[in-house]
Amino acid sequence: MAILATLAATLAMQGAASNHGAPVGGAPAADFARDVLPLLRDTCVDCHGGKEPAAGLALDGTRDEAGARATIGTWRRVREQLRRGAMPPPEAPAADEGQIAAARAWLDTRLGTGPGSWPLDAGRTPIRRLNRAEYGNTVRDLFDLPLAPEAKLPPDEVGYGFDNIAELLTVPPLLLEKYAALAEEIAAAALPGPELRTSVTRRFEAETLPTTLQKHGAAQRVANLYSAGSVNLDLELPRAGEYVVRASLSADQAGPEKARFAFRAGSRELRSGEVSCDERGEERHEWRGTLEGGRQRLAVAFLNDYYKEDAPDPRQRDRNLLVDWIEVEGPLDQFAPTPSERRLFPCGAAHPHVRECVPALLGRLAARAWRRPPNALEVGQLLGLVDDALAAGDSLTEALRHVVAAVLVSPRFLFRTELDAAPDDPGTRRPLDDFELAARLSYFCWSSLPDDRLQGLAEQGLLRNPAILADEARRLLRDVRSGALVINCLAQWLQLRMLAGAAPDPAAFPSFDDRLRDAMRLETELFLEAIVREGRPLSDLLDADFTFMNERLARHYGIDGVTGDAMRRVRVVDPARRGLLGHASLLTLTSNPTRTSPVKRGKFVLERLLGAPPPPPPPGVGVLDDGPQATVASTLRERLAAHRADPSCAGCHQKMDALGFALERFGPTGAWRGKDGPHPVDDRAALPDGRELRGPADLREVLLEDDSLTRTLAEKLLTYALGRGLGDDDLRAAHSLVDRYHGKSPSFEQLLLDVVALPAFTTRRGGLVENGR
Amino acid sequence: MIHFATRRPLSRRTFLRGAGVAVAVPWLEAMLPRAAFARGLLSAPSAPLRFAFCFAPNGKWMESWTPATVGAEAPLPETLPPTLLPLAPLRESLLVLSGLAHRNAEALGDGPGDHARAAACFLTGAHPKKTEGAEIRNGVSIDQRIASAAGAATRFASLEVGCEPPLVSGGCDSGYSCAYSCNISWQSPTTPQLKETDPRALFERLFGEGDDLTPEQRARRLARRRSLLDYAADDARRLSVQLGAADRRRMDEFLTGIRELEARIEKAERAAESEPAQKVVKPAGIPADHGDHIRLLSDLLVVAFQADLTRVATHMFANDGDNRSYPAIGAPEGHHEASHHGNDPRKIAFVGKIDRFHVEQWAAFLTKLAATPDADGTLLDHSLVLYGAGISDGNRHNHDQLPLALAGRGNGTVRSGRHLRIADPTPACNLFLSLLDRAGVRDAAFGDSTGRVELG
Repeated sequence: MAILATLAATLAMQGAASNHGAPVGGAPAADFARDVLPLLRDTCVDCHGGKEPAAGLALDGTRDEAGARATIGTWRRVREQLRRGAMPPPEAPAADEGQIAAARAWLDTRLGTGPGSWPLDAGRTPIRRLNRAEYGNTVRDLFDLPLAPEAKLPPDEVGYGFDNIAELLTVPPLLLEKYAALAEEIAAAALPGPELRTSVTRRFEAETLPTTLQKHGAAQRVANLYSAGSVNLDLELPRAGEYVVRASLSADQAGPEKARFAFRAGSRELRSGEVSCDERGEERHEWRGTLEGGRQRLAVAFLNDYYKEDAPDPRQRDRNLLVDWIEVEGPLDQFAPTPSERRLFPCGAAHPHVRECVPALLGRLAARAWRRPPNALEVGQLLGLVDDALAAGDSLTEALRHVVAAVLVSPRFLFRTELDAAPDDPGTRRPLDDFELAARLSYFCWSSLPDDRLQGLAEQGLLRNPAILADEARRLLRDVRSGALVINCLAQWLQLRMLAGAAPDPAAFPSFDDRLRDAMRLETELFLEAIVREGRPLSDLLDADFTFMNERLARHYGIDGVTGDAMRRVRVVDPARRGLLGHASLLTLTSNPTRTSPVKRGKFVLERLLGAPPPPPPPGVGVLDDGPQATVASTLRERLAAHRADPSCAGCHQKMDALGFALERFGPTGAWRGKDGPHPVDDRAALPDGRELRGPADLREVLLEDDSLTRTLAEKLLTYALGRGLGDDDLRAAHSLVDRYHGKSPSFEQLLLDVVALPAFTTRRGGLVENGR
Repeated sequence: MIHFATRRPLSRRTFLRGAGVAVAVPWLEAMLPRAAFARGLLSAPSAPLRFAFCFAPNGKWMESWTPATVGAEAPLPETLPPTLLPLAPLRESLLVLSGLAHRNAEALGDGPGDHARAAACFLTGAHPKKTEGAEIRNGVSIDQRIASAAGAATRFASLEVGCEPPLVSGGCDSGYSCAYSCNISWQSPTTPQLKETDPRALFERLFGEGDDLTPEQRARRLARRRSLLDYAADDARRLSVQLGAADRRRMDEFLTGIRELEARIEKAERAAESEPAQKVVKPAGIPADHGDHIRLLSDLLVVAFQADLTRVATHMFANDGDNRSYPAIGAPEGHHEASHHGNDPRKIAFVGKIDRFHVEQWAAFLTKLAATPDADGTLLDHSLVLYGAGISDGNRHNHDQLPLALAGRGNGTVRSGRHLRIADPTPACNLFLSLLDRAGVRDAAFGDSTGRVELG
């Protein structure tokens, strides 16, 4: 107590000293000692001071402006707590309103971005290796080829919720080895030699191929798909190009429809159709189109199994698809120049490759691949490689492939670099040049390199014009390629990738399978795409009256009138299903295999949507008793209540559990339910402030009552755009955007444009040598 | 897998039939490294010593793991505890070690995150820096320490495999980057070694793509690859001088990788004449069944040891904190969920089944090593294979009394068939130091070691 008293006295003296030093002719616009210290002294430091300050937040060590500037993170937290009205806590004596107002004014001034604010540090993003998705998109866009090189790359490490964080994009030897091999493969696909220009027809007898069904019965001449399933053909295509896939089909016909089939390549459906003959006949069906090179799984699938054991006519009991053989022919476009050849050969020649074109080719290729024009020295080095290869006996095509591969293993391709004149001087700060801006923008919106238009604007030096930069951001966002932003940024923000690993207990949820899983994922991706492209307010994320589904997912939701495999836009009638909180994808990935987890769902809402992650549980905490006896004897809610009775758990779980309980009517796979095992579902919840809510609609209202969702998304977008964890100044900048919207929900496009205009996006500073950041 | 281009039909015996699944495994006869024999590598009087480190996540139910013996040292009992039972046929090659600890996996003021620390510390003995991304820092792992000394002799200094890629979303564990919970092998304090998860990709690294190349074509291909790497290295050096200090470190990492690849090409060039491309079946990809996946990767490690392509390997059966369920063995709940069993007998039973499943996969690896002739004995005689976890009881998250077992005779340097009860807690790094001795690495200390564990 004596210590605290001394401390308070010191604080008071400091305050007096500062006031004494105020300039003549009026107090400074904002002064820590005058505006903030009184509140701290009278209200805060009793808890937030001393050796073990509450919540690790020490407010007793700062006395003046300079000290506050050095501990900016502390004041950001204070501002946040005051903004939410969370501090001082209700059980503490009421604080002086005038003191609070003065402190808030100081905080808003200093931590904002307007007059009187502390200058924002632009921060520094380290050199960034292309991550897996960026590598794939960049190669595809560079060569205009349907390649999927990223399939051979391992996923990248995740930090701050994203897999594009510069410091985590390391280059272990295994990765380099893959880059070298891929560079050679890609170069060969871009510049195919004669051996890849020959079309071949290969036929595979279906009965020798694996099927997704158990084989039973005697060996047959055909593969019998007696239930929904497919015959699979794994093969290696020499290169991307045009192919014909053909199959000889017949069917045991029964029931009201003819047997239906689909051709697939991986998860892509090439075509579907109907077999009209019966098992005595034979029909050939084919598809012609573009397939990727390399490893492929082609499949012929049976779509409409039918089995009616008691049908009077034995011939009308069972519908099966019979596959005799599958044939693949191609590549058919063997004589035409590939798109990459057309793109790369500026003098228009296709074959044979012309030596005179090579310097222009290399200049052009390197400028695109490296996202900035190479200098003469760099082009000269590439030309040297061509000459060396020719001297070693390579043909011109082989030599060109070699140099294309070289462009792709250059660190200038593999890394996004922003070169500074004074890279180790933290005092320097510079605007990004046009090429750097173009790359930042295109990798942000497309996870790929700048297209011709963007690169052209950079060449003309126009991108540093903020209006043009904004126009381009808008254009990129509206382009179909911004699907990459949905998948790599937004879906990752929502942890949608975890759906792939969700494993609802097959015994309890026999209807859950990969097709349903895919439909769930697609629903959320398409929904996010609509939010991104249609200029909708961010509040639509939680409150939209539309979504996307196919027949399978509609059935899962208990909705009639949606037929077929294709996803389509559907109006949401049931208010409980509106927005992301009604998506089966998110509801499934926040459940356990055998039951819902209000805790996980609550944590998801707090952490992902509100940006207020609960602290992790202390070690050795108890767990719920999930055994069959316990689940019959008591409800999940009762068991969680027992858990909350433990004071070490109550603090966080009260809020977390309440948010999750409101979603209890959605089962572990997101289907609507009236009962949980033998117990009726109870979706009432009480928030820590005493408010009662019931069901998803109430929950949504609570979530939308302040701007937390917008703030969270602003932080996430900035993290993703910069590829690094946000510093205090980055957070200030992100939050200042939100203040600009004055409580209104901006469109996604508006938020993105504002992020792109931030100094953190358009400028950078030198690094600190000591810790290299 | 059907190759589009014409391929010679493959012998039936190159297919192993697993549990109802045809798993294409390049195995034994098909894989005998004739060239290696011809070069006399394997007929040396004392075969090279191989090291493998296998990791399982989320700790064990220790009551079913620890052999019931009395005293500091005792022969393994007649009846092994339930979890170790799959190792019964291998008991004479088995050394169970109780009482070892990783103090640096404990919080030490960093708060929660035991799963991240358990994996990161498992082979490094280091205390990983708590960070979601900025300034990752751990220690160098023992496999990499051995590889830096022994790796020069083989084409691959080390191989890293595992069943799960880095987690694809979200923070992994309480403010730790996923790099920690997903990697046990650390090349440097800042760079985890990437693990290969696709058996097919691993196969292609080991044996090439199986193209029919003439020696000249093969030489030309290697020369091209070398020219490519030379160019990349030159370019990285030119770029490096323009970068700041932190970014230069990334370029150094890039250059280190290139040097390793160049060294590998050199070895491949020297082997070019005596080692014709081998005709073996490539695995088709990642098997759907988790057990098949673990075993297929182990099989390839056995083949790599046998052909002396490497002498050091790590195998992560799963990432730490993994919550996969094992419905096929009657454990339909997530492993991580179940490991927080709260002494609920039902959950403990699940954990026991999963523990046993993992040990079965390890036993399968050891059985193959024991069945593979190598110089004057078997591969297992000339190997040291550590198995274990970085957490003891998944419910308590403690990092002492770690479940650890060492298999193999280590060229006769290890007296196996025993259960050692080492004074609790002794740093697990003491064991590592004893392993380093056997690798010929004369380090005075490793991690937080305070001495050695007597294995002989």
